[in-house]
Amino acid sequence: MIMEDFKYIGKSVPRIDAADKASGKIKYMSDLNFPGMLFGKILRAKYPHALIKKIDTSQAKALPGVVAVVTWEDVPGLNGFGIVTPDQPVLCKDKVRYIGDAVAAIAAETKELAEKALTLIDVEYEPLPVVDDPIKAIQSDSPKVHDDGNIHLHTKVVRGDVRKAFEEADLVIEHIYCTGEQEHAFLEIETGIARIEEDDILTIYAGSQYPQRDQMQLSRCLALNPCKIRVVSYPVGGAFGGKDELTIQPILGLLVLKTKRPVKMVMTREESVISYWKRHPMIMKYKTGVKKDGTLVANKVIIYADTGAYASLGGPVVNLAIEHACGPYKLSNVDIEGYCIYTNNGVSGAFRGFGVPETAFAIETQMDIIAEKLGINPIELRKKNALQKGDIAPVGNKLTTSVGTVAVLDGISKTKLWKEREKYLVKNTKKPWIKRGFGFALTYQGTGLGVGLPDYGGAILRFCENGGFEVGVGLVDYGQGIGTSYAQIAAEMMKCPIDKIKVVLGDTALTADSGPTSASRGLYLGGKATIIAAEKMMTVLKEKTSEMLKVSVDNLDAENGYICMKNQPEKKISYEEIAAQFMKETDHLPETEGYFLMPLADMKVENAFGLPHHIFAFSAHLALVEVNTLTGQTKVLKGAEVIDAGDVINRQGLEAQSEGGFVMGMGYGLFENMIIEKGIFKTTNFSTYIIPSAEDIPSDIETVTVTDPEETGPYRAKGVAETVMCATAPAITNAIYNAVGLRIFKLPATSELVYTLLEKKEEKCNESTN
Amino acid sequence: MKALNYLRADTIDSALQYLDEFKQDIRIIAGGTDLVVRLKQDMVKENNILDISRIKELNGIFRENGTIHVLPLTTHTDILESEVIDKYAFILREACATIGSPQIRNRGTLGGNIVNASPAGDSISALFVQTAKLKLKSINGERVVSIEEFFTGPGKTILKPNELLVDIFMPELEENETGFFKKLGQRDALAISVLNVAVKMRRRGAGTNTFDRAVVAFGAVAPTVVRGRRVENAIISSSLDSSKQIHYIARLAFREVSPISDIRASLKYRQDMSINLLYEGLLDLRANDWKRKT
Amino acid sequence: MVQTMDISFALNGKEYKLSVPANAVLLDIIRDKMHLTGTKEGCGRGECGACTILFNGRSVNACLILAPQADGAEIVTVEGADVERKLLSIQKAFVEEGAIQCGFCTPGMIMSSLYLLNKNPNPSISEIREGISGNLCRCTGYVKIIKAVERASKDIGK
Repeated sequence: MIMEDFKYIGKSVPRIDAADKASGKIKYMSDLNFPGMLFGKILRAKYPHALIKKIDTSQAKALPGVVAVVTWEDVPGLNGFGIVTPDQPVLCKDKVRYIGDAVAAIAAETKELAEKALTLIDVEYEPLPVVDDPIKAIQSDSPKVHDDGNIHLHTKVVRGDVRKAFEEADLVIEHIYCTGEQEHAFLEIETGIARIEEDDILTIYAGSQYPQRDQMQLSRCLALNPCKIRVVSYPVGGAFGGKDELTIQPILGLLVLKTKRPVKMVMTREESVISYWKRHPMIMKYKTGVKKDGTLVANKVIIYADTGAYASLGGPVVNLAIEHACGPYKLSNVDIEGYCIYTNNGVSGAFRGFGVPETAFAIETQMDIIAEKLGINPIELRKKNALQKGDIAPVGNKLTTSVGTVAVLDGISKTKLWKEREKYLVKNTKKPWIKRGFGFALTYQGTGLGVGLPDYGGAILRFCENGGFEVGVGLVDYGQGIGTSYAQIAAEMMKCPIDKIKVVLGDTALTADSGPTSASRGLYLGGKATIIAAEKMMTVLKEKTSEMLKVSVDNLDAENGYICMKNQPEKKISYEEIAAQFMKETDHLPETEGYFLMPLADMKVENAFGLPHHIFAFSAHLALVEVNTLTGQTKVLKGAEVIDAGDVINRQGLEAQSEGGFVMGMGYGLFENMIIEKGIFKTTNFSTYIIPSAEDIPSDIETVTVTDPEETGPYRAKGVAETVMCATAPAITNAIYNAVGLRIFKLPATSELVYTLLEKKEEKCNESTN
Repeated sequence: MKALNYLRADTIDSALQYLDEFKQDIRIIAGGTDLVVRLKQDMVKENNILDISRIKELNGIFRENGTIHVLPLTTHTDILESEVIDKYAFILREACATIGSPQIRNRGTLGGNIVNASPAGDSISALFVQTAKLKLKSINGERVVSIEEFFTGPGKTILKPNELLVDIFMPELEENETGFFKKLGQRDALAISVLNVAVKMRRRGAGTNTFDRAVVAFGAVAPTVVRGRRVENAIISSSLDSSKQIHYIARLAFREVSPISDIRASLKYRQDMSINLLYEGLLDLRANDWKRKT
Repeated sequence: MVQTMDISFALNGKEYKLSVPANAVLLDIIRDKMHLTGTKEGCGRGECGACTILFNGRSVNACLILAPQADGAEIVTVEGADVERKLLSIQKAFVEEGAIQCGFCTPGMIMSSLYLLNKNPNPSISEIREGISGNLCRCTGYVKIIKAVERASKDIGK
């Protein structure tokens, strides 16, 4: 298929909200203030695991300036929330399960009074033993975080006969991999403001990834008809999965209902870190069998994921980890199981990659080890096993959509980094203790929610008096740039200048439910829905024009803001005139809606909710590193990503995702180490939880796209927001191996870890030579 | 943040009056980069905050009779922008360049870094090896102490509640003096030292690998910054001809430090790094014919 | 009782006199009292740079300045293009290079860039990295931000 000559699709269109963000004019939810507003504060648990014996709020209530103090007794509806299982109390009644659990909340005239009032709430606890080790937690004698036990979910997927396959394998590689708890570290902390607006509608302005689901969850907690709740969430200062679940919204809503006044809640960074979602730390046992020629024959994996105190999306995260545990490789004998385990270690939930960065680290290290042991070029090894269109994926589904595995592997050779790696890998003769290495890793990521869940995109297109259009999609642009992509798509479809497109996102009152902004699905589903709405709108415009010009619809075409006659392009009516005609005739302008159902895989995996996925994006990540063997410090000198995004809608946006994903993956691989001791967070700010700064990044991050067009996608595109970060860490750890001969089985590979391992390795060497 | 009584002094005398008047219940603010964080965390017990940031007499860098004076309100940025410092106190310069971020360096002062007495305070190790002295003044008079005797523990100094640090001065680095400041952080910017080391050495002459004077200090490896006297003695009493010899000397660092384990690093890692960072710094210096990093 | 102080300062070229609590930080005054919400709070501890402003010509974290300390100061925020014309070029470069994603770090990033370019109109790449090293960004990976500052320095030099 030949790429059409598009005006906006495939171009580097600057973000439509960039100018307002650059000038500081745009108002984030945390920038809003309303007259007469109160300030809300939350009392967090004193212990990571304890029974609540008594809550006495009388002194706090008596403090002048305190308008409301709420506890579990004040929750009018279900005192529980959670996307899959509502097991997290809005306000704890008889037990706290992590140090960020909410016990009470205050609304007061000033922030200071609210803070003071918190200290006046008397809570009597009976501390319980802290469950902080997920492996111990699943033993029968462990103290229980929840009455039903500490296993929130156990999934096992078996295909073929692994035992037999291992017997037939020429080489079996077995290792245990551990990954750290990653903090989203979005710059805008969970913060919001709420009030009762016209028609008694409780309106919540707070960062979210799915306003319509928030509305439903809030409705359940607050015992309020959803039509009496409006959730607004745009713009959002970063989310990365961390604003998928509810955060402050239920308490904010509760305080507004209680006080009938606007309430603003501003978290501190420390409170955000201890209270809200993180990436699941995982322990993964891998056993991979391979033939001498490099053919993978079996993979046995056990994943232990620490979901912390509440479920949120822990179950789906583990299932997605299972689906991707084998990497994008052909494997017909697999035995993969995963445990999602409750502990008192904070709360884990959705985070960019959703289980895939963890397993990618494991499988891509396994692949690197196998390549070395068998003496096979690591690219060739991966190519030999690469999943291709028509193949059966490890969990059993046939891949019928675009599969870019080979294209991505071939793309590696197109990067400057690959071409010049020999030059970069010269020995440092001046500083022989500094060693360079090159590594890469491959990954893929399913798009959408998978089988078993309704997965659809929705868009509303409103015709405007100026002849432009307003696109309303329920998804949220928290930085990834979907709003701009929708504008590109709408402008392309409606044949009008892009500045005539206004995009409204993340507002339950103004947009169509489009599902969660997660799972790399925003561009795909919102884009498809926009296309459908636009097709309908085009028909409406043409029909009106055909009435006005008294010609058949078939003879009409659209161009640059006009509907014109096909053979007489000078005979045309502008969209503005069409709008005027509508207004004249009916006093209102048409709007159309588009809905698109996600195509699903041809089967479902039994007892593995959400599995499998049907559409995948692929990427290879490359890294050139320098390891200082005296200190263990690893510096990433150069990076590259080869991405199969289908056809690219916005080149600049894709690069931005790739660069940001690479650096986030680098942080995950090298620095980001959330330390929790006995349920207490030790790294609650940016001087202790280390995310990369501008001085830590490589001098170059290349983005090379290879295109395997996704025929089902909007303009044959697919989403890449997650895959771009998933294999950076293993690319780096494989490069560390290349530099100093050290295998990393634990993330992050901090300086201290690398140094300690190097030292041990040296000791071993000395032993063997002695 | 708790309620505060904010006071401002525009002269040293007025500051000393305030300090005397409020005795124990007064805390000085200059750049505030450290104090405001503490205030927000309710870690400050004093109720009166004395702003000295406008005292002109406490701000400036100048040379006088072979001595460099860096007055306490001098910001890290001022230090980085000073040609005098670059020429005669470059080890201090190297240290200040690693502190925080441009924003922190623009606001944080040298005096603040000293008085906060963090064992990881980057400028302090440099001041140790530049053998700085501090002038402390109260309404009762003034005294001069060496930087080494100033600290008694993390956050603790010999500064009396009514005393003000009014001058920081050190001998100019001589032509044949060399040295470095080296820091190990958890990332390349905005990092707090896991460990730092500062070294100053006087070379016996061009072409030699021998030194007749050496001062070495380690930060973040003990309750205060510490001198590495065994290392110093070893440098003076040998010739730094080979990397093997340098490593042999650096290994003495092990005897100088008494680190703890915390969230940034373990005791063992800090111990080893005190050796390796010194080793790497000396090797780098040697590779550059013992000339300062440019 | 919270002590209040009468202070005056120039904010984006305009003189203001106001009464502030002694224990307020400048960031809150700018955001809540002056209603300039372009300056963001990301950590409250001077570790993220989202609140970067120019204070007497130097970039600082507004979250670490006690409000009374701002008495007599000249302050410029991201909204201050009237007094710092270079802001327009920097903002334009950020938009065109695609250096903005969620945008929450952007105002602080732009203020650090402004300070850098005021001091050093032709910074090298490593000077740019150092210049924005006090501003954390979680979306972009900094690549396009660095390019934007480079581009702004060229545009301003024209």
